[in-house]
Amino acid sequence: MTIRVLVVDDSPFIHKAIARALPEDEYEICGVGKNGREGIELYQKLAPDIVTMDVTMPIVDGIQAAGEILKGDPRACIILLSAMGDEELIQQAKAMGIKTTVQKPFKAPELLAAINMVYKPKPSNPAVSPVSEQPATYSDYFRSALENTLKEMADLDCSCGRTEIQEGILASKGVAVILGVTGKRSGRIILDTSREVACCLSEAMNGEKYELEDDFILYSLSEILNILSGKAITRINNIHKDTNLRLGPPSIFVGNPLNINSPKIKAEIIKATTTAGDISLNVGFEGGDK
Amino acid sequence: MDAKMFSPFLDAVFQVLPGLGLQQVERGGLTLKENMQATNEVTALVGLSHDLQGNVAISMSEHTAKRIASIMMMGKPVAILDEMAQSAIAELANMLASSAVTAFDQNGLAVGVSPPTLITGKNLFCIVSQVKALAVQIRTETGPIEISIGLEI
Repeated sequence: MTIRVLVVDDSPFIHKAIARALPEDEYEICGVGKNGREGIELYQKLAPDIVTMDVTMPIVDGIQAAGEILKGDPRACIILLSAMGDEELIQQAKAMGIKTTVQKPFKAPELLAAINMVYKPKPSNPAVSPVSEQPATYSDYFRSALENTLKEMADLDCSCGRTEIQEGILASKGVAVILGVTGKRSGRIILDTSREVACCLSEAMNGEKYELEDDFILYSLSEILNILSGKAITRINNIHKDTNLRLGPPSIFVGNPLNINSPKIKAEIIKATTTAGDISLNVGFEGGDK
Repeated sequence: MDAKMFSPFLDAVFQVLPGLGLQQVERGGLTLKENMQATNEVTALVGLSHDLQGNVAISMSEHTAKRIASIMMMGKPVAILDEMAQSAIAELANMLASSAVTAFDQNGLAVGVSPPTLITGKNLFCIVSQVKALAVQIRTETGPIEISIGLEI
């Protein structure tokens, strides 16, 4: 099911930036308003899932427009995009019922992280939902958590390829961090890379140079997996009520060769290319991850 | 660090291993380590969460793993540690942790066990836990087994 987004902003540049930031397979820009008044009208007409709202616009500004929209629909999911990041504006927006504020200029992962944080899909009625609706798999949540964790912790942009199915035994690149998940569904998450890439990631995270032999780089990798998994399962727990997933602590394995086998698991691999090098995130749950 | 938290795991060893058909199961050395490092060729790992957070690893040589897998598969000879034999060893970790968790459950602690993962290779170095961990040597007729229990308590 795609998430329908109404963009209200007077800058065509921002329209494009938002369209680029939101993956086409998950999001649809259902309308564009060039000022607050158009925003209010389009909201009523289109009933979008999410509104991105600029602050400074002609005719009716974003704060007024958001106020009008929230008056009619207090549950409207509005994200304020503001060039001003002052605390007063953020507090005012929050007090009005605006879900969150993203400061311009934003990068795609920041906008996605904000949406992930505030947008809760409306419960769909299975009797009427179309057959073609594809529920997000757990690995989708891990993919976006990987992207925004690398951005936040190491200021690295990463691009993830198509998710692949893990067949049989995983041959590690040399360093693997493994973390168990329990709850309604149990599984395990593996972050795998080479020692060299782990070293570059550490340097990007901590702004210092490390020797390849330094175990500190292993702990940095372990921390990345811990944080990204925390983000992903928080979101899964919020969206899929009663799932109640919990994480175990990470374990680190180094070896050459190093082979990893999870017999009860159907796993998916998210391959990510970053400027620090390639890493793969292997997400596996008992019985698959739908 | 409460020693009581470890005893369900030790009890599990002496319940599960003989139950599978190992004749000789004796406890050897017991060491408390600052962080858990296992360096054997074959390690089966499970994670614990909810009321108790941690990892349990069972580590052994490939030779021992093949002999235990053979015993677990009703004496069928195991010449190489193939996927079937690997899943037997992984299952062993699961059985040990699940047996301990049942004991915790009776004491009012709800603990979840994650599915087991088997790690094999050469020149291995593992940090199973970044907190204090207990390593127990178990002597069996198939060779020594090391059980590592790292609990964040």
